[in-house]
Amino acid sequence: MSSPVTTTTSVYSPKQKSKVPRAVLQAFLITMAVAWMIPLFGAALSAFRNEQELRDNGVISIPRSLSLQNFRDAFDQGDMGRKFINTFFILIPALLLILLFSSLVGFACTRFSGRFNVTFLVIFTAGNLMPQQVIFQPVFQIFKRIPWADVISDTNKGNLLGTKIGVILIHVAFQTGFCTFVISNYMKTLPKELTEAALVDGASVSRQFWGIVLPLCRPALAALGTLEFTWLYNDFFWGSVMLQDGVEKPITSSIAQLSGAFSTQDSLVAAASVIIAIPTITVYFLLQKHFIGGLTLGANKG
Amino acid sequence: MRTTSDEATAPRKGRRSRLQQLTGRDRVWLKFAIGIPLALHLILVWIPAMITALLSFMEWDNLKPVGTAKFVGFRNYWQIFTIFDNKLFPALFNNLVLIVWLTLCSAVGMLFAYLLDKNVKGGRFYQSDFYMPVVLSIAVVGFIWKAVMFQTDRGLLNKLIPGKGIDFLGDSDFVFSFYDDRILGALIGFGVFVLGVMIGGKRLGLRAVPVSVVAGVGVAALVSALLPNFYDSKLGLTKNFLAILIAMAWRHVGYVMVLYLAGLKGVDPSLREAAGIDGANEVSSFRHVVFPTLRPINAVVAVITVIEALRAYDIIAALGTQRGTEVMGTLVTGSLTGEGGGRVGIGSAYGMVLFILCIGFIIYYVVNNFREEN
Repeated sequence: MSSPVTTTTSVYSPKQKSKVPRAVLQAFLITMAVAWMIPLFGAALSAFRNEQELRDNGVISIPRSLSLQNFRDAFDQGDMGRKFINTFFILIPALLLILLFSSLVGFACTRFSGRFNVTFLVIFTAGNLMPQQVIFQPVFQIFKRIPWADVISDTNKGNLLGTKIGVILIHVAFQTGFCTFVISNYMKTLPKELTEAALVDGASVSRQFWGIVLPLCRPALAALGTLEFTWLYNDFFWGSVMLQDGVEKPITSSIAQLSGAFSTQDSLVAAASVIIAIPTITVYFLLQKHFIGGLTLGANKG
Repeated sequence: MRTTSDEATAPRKGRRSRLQQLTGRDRVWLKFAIGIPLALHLILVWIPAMITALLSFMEWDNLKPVGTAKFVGFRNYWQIFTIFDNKLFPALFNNLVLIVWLTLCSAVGMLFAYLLDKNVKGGRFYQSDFYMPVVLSIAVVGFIWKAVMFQTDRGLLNKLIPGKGIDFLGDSDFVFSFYDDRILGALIGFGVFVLGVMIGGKRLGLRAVPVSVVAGVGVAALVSALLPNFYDSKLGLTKNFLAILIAMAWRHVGYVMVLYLAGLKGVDPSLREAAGIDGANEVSSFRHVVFPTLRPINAVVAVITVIEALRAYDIIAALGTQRGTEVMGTLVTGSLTGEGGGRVGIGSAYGMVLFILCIGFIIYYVVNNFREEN
């Protein structure tokens, strides 16, 4: 097993005789990879198993039966269908607005000179690092005082507090900070001549944005879109703090619901966990390249 | 045509003339483009932060109308820093432990990235494997650790470790503990260490680390010797917080690893080759060739690590807040909602302590990033 590995590497990197032999490296990585997988594996295995059997024998035992029954039960009892709809009701508009707002600010601050451009970017970047706990009580109070007839979603309380619109707004306000930072760094790398030429042709600023700059930012937008999808989908804090009403809650809350309602059936919650994890894991594998690019766009400065 | 040549020779002048070419409609468009996102961001992030600052000087039960709030000066701060509940310093200590621990995890993440960057067979698999926990929701991560791994009678860890079942999340006994004056000393000493690395790092590079360690330990010893005992309660690392550290590491390592992986792609391979030919060994080629080129990523990772450690909340809440696992984030939330809720003033004061701890690192990060533009 180890000899072909060493020969391939000697072809790829003839220059350095590594002090760490490849076999040791592989052994180390495999050990760590297995250790990393144990929790996930345990959860996934529990999801397919009978609760009673799990209780009697534990996760590490030869399963007598494997079934999808837990998934069906979790989906029904956790009201996961409705919660998926809730999550995407928040996620899609929030994601689009975040990308739109951050490209607008990035565009205006990097392609045109203004006295406060850097100040604006600093405000957004610093705001994104603010601990959420510091702001949530005032945000609560602000939302309580904004009258809002919530006709779009199910419950109407007369104000923004406890509505999905409120959660969308706070996500947009918060995440625009990070995305503005990343996208403005990306826009700085685009050649100035592009918009310059459009300007000579008499194109308006809005044409320059929609027609030239935004299409060129597609790689950055794809990366940020993938990242933000995961973050918004996985949101635990705002969704659970702001949305008190059970029918409004996002998908991540179904774990708490399934754990609280009955004496907790671990196999059921495990199945719910797997269902919840499917969208983000799918997105990760489909868009892996964008994902990793997105994490470093800001850091690398293009 | 004129504009382009202007731009090439004197970019600043060219820029100004470009702004003058904008029509009134364009100006309005640009104002809205910045104005709307900025207004939303200010109203829902910065103004609330200021309100929190204000509320920290008030006493108010958030179930009663705002009219009942009254100004109490520094009383909230006085309460949290002295006798009240004795919660602040244990929480701060846990946050400090988190900073140290997540820094170690960041180093492990860097090691993983460095190893995977060597064209290892199956690199993609390892990468996905280590990164997977980052993709999962905290709610899921919380369940996996709480029920699948840590459970006393049937958790996987208890099945793997022989002997009587360990109550990982319930046991709030100390692994080790001190009295507060030592903790205060350690906190201040750690501050000296961080400052030393930040300031000295520029001039001394990696050598700043041992120097700062010595300085930090020295100051810590001095402070704890001089400070009298303010508290009689013990502070320390509890067993259940240790369990939380494991769950947090599981997530943090993969995140940092991916940041470094992308950074390592930017390291010029010919540089490393040259180092190899010159007979540099693994360690010195890493220290003198790879590490310096990772500087921008290092700054990002350092800030992410510290901020994540300071504002940690989600995973602790998901694992169920127990005695001994409190951090600043859970203290703030706990004072405002739930059982101990309704103490807005106290919660806001906790929030401001958290904010003040974070803002230094936020400023460092922002200055680092926007310096060249000014």
